[in-house]
Amino acid sequence: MNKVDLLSGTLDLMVLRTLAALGPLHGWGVARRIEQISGHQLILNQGTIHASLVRLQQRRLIKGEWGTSENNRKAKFYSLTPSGRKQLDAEAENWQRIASVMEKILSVLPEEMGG
Amino acid sequence: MMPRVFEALARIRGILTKKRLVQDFDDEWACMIEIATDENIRFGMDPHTARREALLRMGSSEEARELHRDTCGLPLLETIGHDIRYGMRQLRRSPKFMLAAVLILAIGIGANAALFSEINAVFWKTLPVQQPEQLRTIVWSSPKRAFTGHDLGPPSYTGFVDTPLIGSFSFSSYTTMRNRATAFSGLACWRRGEVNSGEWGSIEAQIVSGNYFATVGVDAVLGRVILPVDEEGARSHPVAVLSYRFWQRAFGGSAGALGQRITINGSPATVVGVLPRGFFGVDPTYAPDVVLPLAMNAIVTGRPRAIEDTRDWTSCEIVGRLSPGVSDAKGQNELESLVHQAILTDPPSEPYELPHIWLKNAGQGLDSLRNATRWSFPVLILIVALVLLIACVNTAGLLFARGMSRQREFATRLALGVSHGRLLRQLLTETLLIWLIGGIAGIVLAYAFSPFLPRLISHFIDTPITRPPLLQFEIRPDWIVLGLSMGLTILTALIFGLAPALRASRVKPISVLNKRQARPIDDDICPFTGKVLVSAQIALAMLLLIAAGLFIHTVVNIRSVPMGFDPHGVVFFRLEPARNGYDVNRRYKLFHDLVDRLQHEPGLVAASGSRTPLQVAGTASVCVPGHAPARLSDSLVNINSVSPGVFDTWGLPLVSGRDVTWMDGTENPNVAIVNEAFVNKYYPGKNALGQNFAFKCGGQQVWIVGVVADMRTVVRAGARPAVYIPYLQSPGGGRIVLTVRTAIDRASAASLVRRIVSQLDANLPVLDDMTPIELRDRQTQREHQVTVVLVLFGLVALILSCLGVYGLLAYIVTQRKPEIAVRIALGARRDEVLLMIMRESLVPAATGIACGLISAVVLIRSVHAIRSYLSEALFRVSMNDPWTLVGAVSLLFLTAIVAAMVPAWSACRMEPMATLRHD
Repeated sequence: MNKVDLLSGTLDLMVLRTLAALGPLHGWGVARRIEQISGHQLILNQGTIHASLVRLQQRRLIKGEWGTSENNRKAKFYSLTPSGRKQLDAEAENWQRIASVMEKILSVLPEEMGG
Repeated sequence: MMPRVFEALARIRGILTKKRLVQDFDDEWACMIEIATDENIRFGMDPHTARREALLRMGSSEEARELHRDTCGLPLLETIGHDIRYGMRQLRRSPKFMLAAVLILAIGIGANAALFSEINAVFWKTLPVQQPEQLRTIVWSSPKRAFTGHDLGPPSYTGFVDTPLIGSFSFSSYTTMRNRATAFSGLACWRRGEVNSGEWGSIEAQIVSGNYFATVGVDAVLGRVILPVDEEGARSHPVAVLSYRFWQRAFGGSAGALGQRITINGSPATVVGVLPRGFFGVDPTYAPDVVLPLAMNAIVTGRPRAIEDTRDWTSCEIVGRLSPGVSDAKGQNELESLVHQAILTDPPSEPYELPHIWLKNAGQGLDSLRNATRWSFPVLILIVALVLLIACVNTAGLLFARGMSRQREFATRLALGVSHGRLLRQLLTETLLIWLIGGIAGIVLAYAFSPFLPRLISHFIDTPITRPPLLQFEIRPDWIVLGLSMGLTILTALIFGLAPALRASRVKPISVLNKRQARPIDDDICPFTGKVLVSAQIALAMLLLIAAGLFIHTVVNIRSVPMGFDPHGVVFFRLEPARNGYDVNRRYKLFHDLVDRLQHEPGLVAASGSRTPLQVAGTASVCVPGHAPARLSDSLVNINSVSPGVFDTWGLPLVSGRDVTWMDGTENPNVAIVNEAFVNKYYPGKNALGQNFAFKCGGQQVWIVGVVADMRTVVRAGARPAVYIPYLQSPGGGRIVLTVRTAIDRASAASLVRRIVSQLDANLPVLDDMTPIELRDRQTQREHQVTVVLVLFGLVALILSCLGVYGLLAYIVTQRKPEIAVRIALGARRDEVLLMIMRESLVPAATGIACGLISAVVLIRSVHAIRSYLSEALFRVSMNDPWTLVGAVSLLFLTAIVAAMVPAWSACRMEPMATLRHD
């Protein structure tokens, strides 16, 4: 399977989106869900995910609390803060704009470019 | 925006709470392993496989923890901190290396810091007074200065113009200026004087007008300063203000000094105040012990009416405070017209030219000191720069060798995943640490010596008659000096530390680790660099040694100049009877009595007197019939007043005519004895005996009754025309210099003279005793001192290059141990081995010597400043002096051989089998 290289900053956005969609998750859960959603095109290093979680916490976009998992295991659960939700909206919109621009440019035919 | 601020704050907080954060991480990581294992078990794996898979899936916990640490804190700052801690540990592990490097750098940087602070004090610092930039010293110049009488000291200021600038005025011209000048908020008069002060002996007194301290802008730290009220003649009681230093010396810094009496030339004066520490007036080459009001002028100078005398232009040196917003030109014009007015109220009968007035910025106050040190400072700057360069090159050499011997450590760290950049940063940090410690040690060293620096500077100033001046300005830690020294430290660290660090960090781990012994892969490069560094050091040391050699030769030549008389056994003693109220007749009697008594003492071969020792100080202009001087300096001759028998005492041959006698008094015709240089200049080819001349054209005639041989008292100047007149026929000056030629030792001669003087007048101190040799050495103090400094630092350079050669060779021997062992085992003769090793160091030494020699010659040839400096400073020594060059070459070469012998000897004494087995 080809590994997809992540653009910097995109991982943070993925984490925010995952937490927004699925509610509080622990680090392992966040990584697995992102992999699942990507159709296993992304293989995430647990350390990298963890660093992203720490960074988002420092920026007060998410918060982490110790709790118990469904299997009665202790784990730290992360959830979005209000400012995290705002940030997600802004970032997501921004990302979509970039993506649509990229799509247009990449779909331009050679003759159109030359014109 | 806000999230980023929160992140920065959290990271800063993270540095402090790192331990807990890492603990949190470990907890969380462990929990997630459990969760992952559970998940795998749910997928049907057995617990053991489930756990292994989970661990694999999670990845390296070490790497994750490292990432976590970096995310939590400020990684750059922390690595720097880490580098410093690691560096310190490495340095502590090799204390010998560290000590050597720090010591070498401390010498180099310390010498520079000391010189910086001197230069700072002399050239950039302003006087410790309020608004020093407003202060001006008033000076004047005139080609024909008949309005001043004769007895004007040598010109004390230079600059602006070729005509000499003179800093002293008559009191009447001062008062005219003070009363009418509008451009100045204050004009103050001061003069120098030396006084006898009871148990304190001879001390420096400064006489000031009442407005002096208000003008300069200084207040007393204790009591009060001299005030205008002290100037009011008879009503004022005699008062004295002490310098801080004299207060400490005489009263131990006690406040009880106020109201105490001190004696000034036998008269009492009441102490009313103490000046701030470090304040010396406006001339730093002159440091008064006491400051007295102008009303005490007569007591200090011994001349009751000196102030009223409009022809006495030695009365006042003037310092003024320019009013804010007034230009120098305006002040200058105003003072010039006022001085002209003052002169025209009582114009002299001889032709004269009205003086030009110049204003000199007195705020820095150090003009006289700058002039006095101008000669020595350039060479000092060069010396310390060279010493620093040598120290840096030497340390760079040490760093190279150390880098090579640590290759195994570096290779291991690289193999463990440390990047080259990271290693380089680590090495640079260590280098910077060494330099900083060395730099700080140097600066501390420099400041530890700073109390001695003013005294050191004073030894670079020539002082013909009296002791070297006690400079009173203080050298204190100063941001400029500190900044410059630290800047120099970091700059040299980067220049000289980068290359060794770069070199050492370029290690190839595999090739190093594969070797059983820690040796470099490319053996050639390291010793090559080392050799270049050794050559460079030796070349620099060569420059210093050549300079030292040239100056040693100069001093030797100065000392071997024949003085024209026999200086051995001659001792001078100075008496200042005029200060104790002796008038000219009483002085003459004292003089006569003293000479009489001394002549009858056993052990004293001859005893006689004069006004100054030999003919060192005192000039007068003469008017010789038929001789028209083109310039003022053409009519200047040295003058001294003498008693009968003085030439015998000096051992100066009388060429023709007669000596002066006790009969040559004021009632008899004025007579003089001249030297051969005088005859050659003014009466070339004629018999000078019976001729006459005058000191003022149209003045009293002086008949030449004798001619004596020339003496060389100013070594560089050659023989100058000189006139000796009988003591009683020369009015000025209250000084007696007793001259004694003694067969006994100097100390007993001194006590003998002191005893006889005290028999005649118990209150008259005998001030200095001095020999003609000392007199000559004091005049050539600069040459002596520069030589001392050069020799001192030349030795330092020699020792450093010795260390450099030794270090290089010792390193090479360690590296080549197995090879040498094999050679010996295969039957190489030990002397061959010795030679082979010696060659390794003698080739770079010879290269360095050659480079030093060539660059010295090139520098002297092509740099104008160096050539003109040397041609002025050296005395009868060619700049390519063969003795110096041969001496420097052989000294350095011998040093290199000695330094190389030790490691080479140990190499050829090696036991081959033991070495090979060990390897």
